[in-house]
Amino acid sequence: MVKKKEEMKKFFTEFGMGVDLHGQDVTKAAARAVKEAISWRSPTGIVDLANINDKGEPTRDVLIDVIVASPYPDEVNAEEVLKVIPYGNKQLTSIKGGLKTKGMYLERMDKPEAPDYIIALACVEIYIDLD
Amino acid sequence: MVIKKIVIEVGSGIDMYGEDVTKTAQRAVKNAISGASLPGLVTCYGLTKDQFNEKMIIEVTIATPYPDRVNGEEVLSIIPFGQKSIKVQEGGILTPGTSIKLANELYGTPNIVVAIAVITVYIETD
Repeated sequence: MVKKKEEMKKFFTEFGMGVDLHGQDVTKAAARAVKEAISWRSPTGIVDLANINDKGEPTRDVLIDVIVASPYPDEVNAEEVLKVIPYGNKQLTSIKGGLKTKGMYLERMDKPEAPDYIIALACVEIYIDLD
Repeated sequence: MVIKKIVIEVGSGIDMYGEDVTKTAQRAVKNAISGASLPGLVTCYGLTKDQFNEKMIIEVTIATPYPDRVNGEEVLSIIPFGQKSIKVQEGGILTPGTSIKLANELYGTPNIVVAIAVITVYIETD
């Protein structure tokens, strides 16, 4: 049983932004935001802190808490977004935010009912149970 | 005393006008350190605010065109604390930029420079 994040120690926080230009897909934009957040840095200290063994499994509990802000928070498919993170106990909170702006409608790439550009923001936090 | 590698951060920086590689390198460093925060230094490793300077070791590697022109001290001034060191190597991108005549007259060159920064953060623990 993994503890709640309040009972664990926050080790690392990273941020990212993701855009979906065609199709008004908030899940895609959110997944890209998470991807950007985790792609540019590597928290190597976790190997030691979470006591990761030779098989690559942490022997202490690690929780990855993702907050995604997008214009349509209810439409975000949490499971799909969390697939971007390769391993760990993951959870996602979807809140209203990000940005929506008028897009350029291309018949070949867009549906008429979904012409807008969507921008999502992501915050990825890593918690470790050090007790 | 043990030295532990805590995080590796990567960033890129661009100078659109003037081929100023120091500015480009500064932007790359800024980009690398801006998107993440390390609360673990306090919560997991128990450092206090006063210890940051003394206990953190920060290695910066820059890849840029014209590596000889980079002013290392100015680049490192972007990083707020720690024992800092810098290594500059040939790399990055030099590409033709704007063809606006006025811009070329003002800045003396039409080229765009792109630099990459890799920052490795270590801490000393007992």
